[in-house]
Amino acid sequence: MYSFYQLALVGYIFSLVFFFINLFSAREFVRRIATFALLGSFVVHTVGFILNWAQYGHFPILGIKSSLSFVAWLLALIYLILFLRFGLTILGTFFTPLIVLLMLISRIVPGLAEPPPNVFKSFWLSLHIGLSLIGDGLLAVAFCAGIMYLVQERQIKRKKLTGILQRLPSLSFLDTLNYHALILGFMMLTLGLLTGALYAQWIKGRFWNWDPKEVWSVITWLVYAVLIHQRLTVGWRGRQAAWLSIIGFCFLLFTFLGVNYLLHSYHRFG
Amino acid sequence: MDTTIVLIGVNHKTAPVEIREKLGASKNAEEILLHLTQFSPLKEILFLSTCNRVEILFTSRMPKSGIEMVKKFLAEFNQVPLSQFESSLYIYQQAEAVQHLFRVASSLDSMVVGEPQILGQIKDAYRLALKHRTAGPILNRLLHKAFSVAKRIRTETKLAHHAVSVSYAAVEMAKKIFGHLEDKKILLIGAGEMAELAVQHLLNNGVESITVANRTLERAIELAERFKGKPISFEERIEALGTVDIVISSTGASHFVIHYEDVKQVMRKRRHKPIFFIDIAVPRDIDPEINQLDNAYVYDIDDLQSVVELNRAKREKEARKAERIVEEETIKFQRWLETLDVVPTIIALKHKLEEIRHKELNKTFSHLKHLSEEDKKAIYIMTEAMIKKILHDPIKFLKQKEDREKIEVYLDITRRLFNLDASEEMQDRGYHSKK
Repeated sequence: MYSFYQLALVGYIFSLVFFFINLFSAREFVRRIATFALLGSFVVHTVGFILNWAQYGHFPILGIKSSLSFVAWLLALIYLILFLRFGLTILGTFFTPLIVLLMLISRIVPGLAEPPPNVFKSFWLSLHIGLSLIGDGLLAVAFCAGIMYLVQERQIKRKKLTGILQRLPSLSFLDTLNYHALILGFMMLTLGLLTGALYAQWIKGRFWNWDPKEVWSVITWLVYAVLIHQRLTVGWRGRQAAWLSIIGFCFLLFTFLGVNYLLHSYHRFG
Repeated sequence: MDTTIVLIGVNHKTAPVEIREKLGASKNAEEILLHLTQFSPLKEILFLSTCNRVEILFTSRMPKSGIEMVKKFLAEFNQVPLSQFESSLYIYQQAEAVQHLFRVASSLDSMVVGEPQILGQIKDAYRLALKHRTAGPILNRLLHKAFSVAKRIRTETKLAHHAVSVSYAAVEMAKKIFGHLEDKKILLIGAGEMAELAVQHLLNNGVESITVANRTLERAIELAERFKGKPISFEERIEALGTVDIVISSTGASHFVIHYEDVKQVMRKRRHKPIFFIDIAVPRDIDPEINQLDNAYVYDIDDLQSVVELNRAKREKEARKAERIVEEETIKFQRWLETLDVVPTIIALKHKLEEIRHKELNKTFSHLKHLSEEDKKAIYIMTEAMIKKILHDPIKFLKQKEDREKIEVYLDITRRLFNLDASEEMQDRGYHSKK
């Protein structure tokens, strides 16, 4: 299975390189190579997942390695869906770095590959982690859209019309993508937190344990809640929304990775 | 091959507008086409007339007299002395005519290179030719090829992507901000040729509504009527900022007509929906500081001009690519034209049947191993004779008709019946059935 993940990683890197070549010299065949490399890696990645699943007997998202890899897989899936729907290859330039980064971290981080102690075999736990990871993936999309928005907005404001401007999607598209990813991601994150609390109640007898991961998760959740509130009531959009989704994502990353290695938490994987 | 393709015309480069409008208003295109069919030297005819060009494309066995007749007709029909426009006429024949048509169809010959309307206008002209049956095998193929060349250039180059007039540039920037313009509202402050052109482009791109503000309400009403919009008084302009998405300003005012504070206050009311200011006025109408506000974008005439300059350089590069495609396709068409003759068609026909015969003989012989050399030879001769007999009548027919008017039709049918042209080229015929 790990050879599958490795192969997928190589493919993602390959795709990343071509998406960057595409940024500087837009050619049909470069785009095609990049997209097919991504699609191929995604298929290989999926096969790896299925094999893992068969081996462990549960969906392989319980270890840190596999959960990072799962988020990368989700991003590739979302990119492919957006590509099919809108045909925007330029998004790949912003998605692939994140995918490659997640895959690399997933390879480097210490931790057991996939610990299958009995406690993890619970459906509720899988649901808790699964929902949270899907939320993370969608919020990563909002992050990418936010960055693209800032790049595009800067070019339009400064009237510096480089080649990238021609190929980035319109501001309104990026803002809408950011909005939808944010709303969906936030819903998933919320459900992830709720199922986690229910699971804790069931296992530990308490909804809330003052675990650092829990605290940071709630902080992250609040950051996103503020953003969504501002979007919906005050009508924040564009640059402000893009910045907040980037800040929110930094919190998310810290909660996801930092807490595991810097703070002591029973949430740590493996 | 005796039939020649000829193209006579004037365009915006060779003739001033006074002459172009005299030579053919698109209203009577049908009438002109019907007149042209009266001239016997002209076989297939297409008449194209737009505001930038008047062109007559025809095939003829007597191109010289055909050209003279068309010239004379243009002068008589439009009541303009030939001497007045003869020097503006261009006359292309064969490959040159083909190349010219391909260039026109792909908008390389347009005033605004890359603008897409011309292709539609050629399609209309072709439809008219089909309606009156003035398009035969050569023009049918030529026009279909022209459409596919235009399509190829549209997909393979970015010729149409680079707006090269200020008003196009304004639309392009609006699309960068809003994506599509379908549900957008515009506000026009003042008037002026460039501003009105920008409004027209925005309307062509489907904007929802337009509001017109002018110092004199009368003028506002007049403009609003023209664009099917709503007139408002000049004082109401700030209030209107609350609801519109694109503001085009072109007044003669010596100071700003929209200030930073105005927009700053209105942004809250707009719930920070983006607003795009296009300032075409000199001196400027819109405070450039407004560009510092979130979700507000200001482009003045110089900014738009720099978009145009940037695009122009890029477009020239794309145009070179497009010219190469045109040349390539012209050569391909030329090759096809050469085959549309009796001798090459007969050769191709023989070749095709011989090929089938050999293939089938090989297949049969490999199954029937027991045949002696003598048997094989007999079968060989028998099949040869069959092919000869089958071909005898068609070949005789084609040779008899060689000098007839309709020979291209027969050749075309023969080539299609036996699929003598590469299958790649046959795909272009789809236009007929879809119509």
